Amino acid sequence: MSDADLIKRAATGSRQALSALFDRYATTVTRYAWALAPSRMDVEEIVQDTFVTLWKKSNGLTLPTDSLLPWLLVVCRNHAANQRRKLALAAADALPDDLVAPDGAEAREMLRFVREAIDALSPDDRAICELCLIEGLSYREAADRLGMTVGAVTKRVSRTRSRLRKAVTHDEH
Amino acid sequence: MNTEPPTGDDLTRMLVSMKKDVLERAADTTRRRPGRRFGIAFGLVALIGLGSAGGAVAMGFVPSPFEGLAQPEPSASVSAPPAPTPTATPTPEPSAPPSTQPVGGTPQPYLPMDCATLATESSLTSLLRAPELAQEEGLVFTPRDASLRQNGVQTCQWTSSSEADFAVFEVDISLDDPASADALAAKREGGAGADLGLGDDSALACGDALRCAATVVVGGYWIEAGYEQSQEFGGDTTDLVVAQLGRIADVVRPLEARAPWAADAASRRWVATGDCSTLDLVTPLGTIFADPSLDASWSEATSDGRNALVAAASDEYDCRSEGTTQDDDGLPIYTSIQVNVSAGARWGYERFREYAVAGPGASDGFTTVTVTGAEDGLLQCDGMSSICYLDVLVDDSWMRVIYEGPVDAGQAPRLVQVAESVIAAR
Repeated sequence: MSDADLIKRAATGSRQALSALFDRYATTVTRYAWALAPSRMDVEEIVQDTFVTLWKKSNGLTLPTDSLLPWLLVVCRNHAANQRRKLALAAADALPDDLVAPDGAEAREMLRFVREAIDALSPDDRAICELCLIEGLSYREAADRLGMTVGAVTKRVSRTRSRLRKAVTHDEH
Repeated sequence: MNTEPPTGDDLTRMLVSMKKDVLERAADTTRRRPGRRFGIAFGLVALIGLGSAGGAVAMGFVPSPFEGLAQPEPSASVSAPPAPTPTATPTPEPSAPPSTQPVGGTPQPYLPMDCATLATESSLTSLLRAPELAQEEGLVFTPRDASLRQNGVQTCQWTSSSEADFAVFEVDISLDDPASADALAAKREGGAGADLGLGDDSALACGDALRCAATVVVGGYWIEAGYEQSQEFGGDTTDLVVAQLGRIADVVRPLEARAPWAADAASRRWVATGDCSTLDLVTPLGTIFADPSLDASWSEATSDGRNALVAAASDEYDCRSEGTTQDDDGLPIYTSIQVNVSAGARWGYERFREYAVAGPGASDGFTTVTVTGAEDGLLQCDGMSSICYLDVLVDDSWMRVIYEGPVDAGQAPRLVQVAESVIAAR
């Protein structure tokens, strides 16, 4: 079953689908979080938050590619960054030295534990990972740059047709 | 961390622990988060006159290796296909469609038949062993759901599942529309979509061995249907799906459509185009959140929906802006703001509020807030997953503002400010 199928199932409330997605990707997400977080406990919290976010956002989540992994890694990165920020704010008098946004080389280094998994992805998915996890773009920005945005034009055309039809129908009533 | 990540048994133990936590949190959030649906036991068995043993299996009381998957035959049947309307069972007659619907009231779909009756009349248990309606009839969790209902769409989704497997059958039904021709053509494109010979026109497309989608035009109605299951289709699964669609087409064909729903005059203050370029703010998002990267224009938040009918019928605002900035310590902050507005959906807001405050979704996570220019506001923030929802009743319409990013005590007033800014600029 494809990632898109499982996401759709999760959106209907299927924890079995969420479980399947966890089994499919939790190891890779954990390895990435391991490079981002300062402690094992933080890794666990980030990974859990990543999959709970997937659960909460499954209704309406549409992938531009076949794999959910880039999206999960971006969400994992965001949770890690927000967690680090929260920790830094809570301990403002003793900021650790590594609390700076990673540059490209550092960002690439943080992918060291998941490089094999990323290399196994399709070229589009690898490109998303590159843009998001190394260059710092958001998932949507990366999809836009790669020309993967879903066409809003089609939607508007369809709506216009629908409205014309409704106008005729209403007149008939 | 600078150490190597865990492997072997250590990793397995960690994954098991995290998975348990994730599934528990998912179960908890299912009950109370906006946008989620909840199952309703669906007592079809007695209605179609199955025996007690078959009924117990169908209701999921007796484990069945076939539970949750398309069935070659209904459990009480030997060889004959199920009769759409068993003579021994009184079936509810659809009420005569009213000539008009009350302005601004709870909208009724064009199809004058509820999901439970449709399932019964079309013998759904011939396809799903133990169907449960995924969402209470008429309850809406999102402004988009409300928009579809207002535009006359009847949406029914049934699930059937066991511990290991699941199957889902869903239909969206509305009046026929020129866009249905596009949907039919798309399914036939490249010879992938078979003509079903159902209704006035029909086509089926199966993308893989797990899911099929169908378009049926019958008697002035447009039906978009989908079926999927967790195991690859058996040889007769597609036949079962087609047979189910045929029964639904037969049930729907003679029904006289209801009149369209009309919104209250107050909701006309919202230009019901759903075009994000017309969604203005008095105060820019970048100012509200002190994040210049949020000043980019709105974009469509979600794709065209689950099928062409939904895409054609949804006309709500569904707009998102997102940005990335850094805090004083150089740490990245990711923020996303989404605004949905369904013009005229007071009924939907009130139904959702009742569900969230006093109904099955009630929790102490919801807080009533004051939003200038609005009649009511309901806030829910989940710090664990960094998501806040603000639902607002304004101009007899339902607005939802969704925030994703760092959640702290300062987010609530900022969400309120977003809503007030949109309201002031309308």
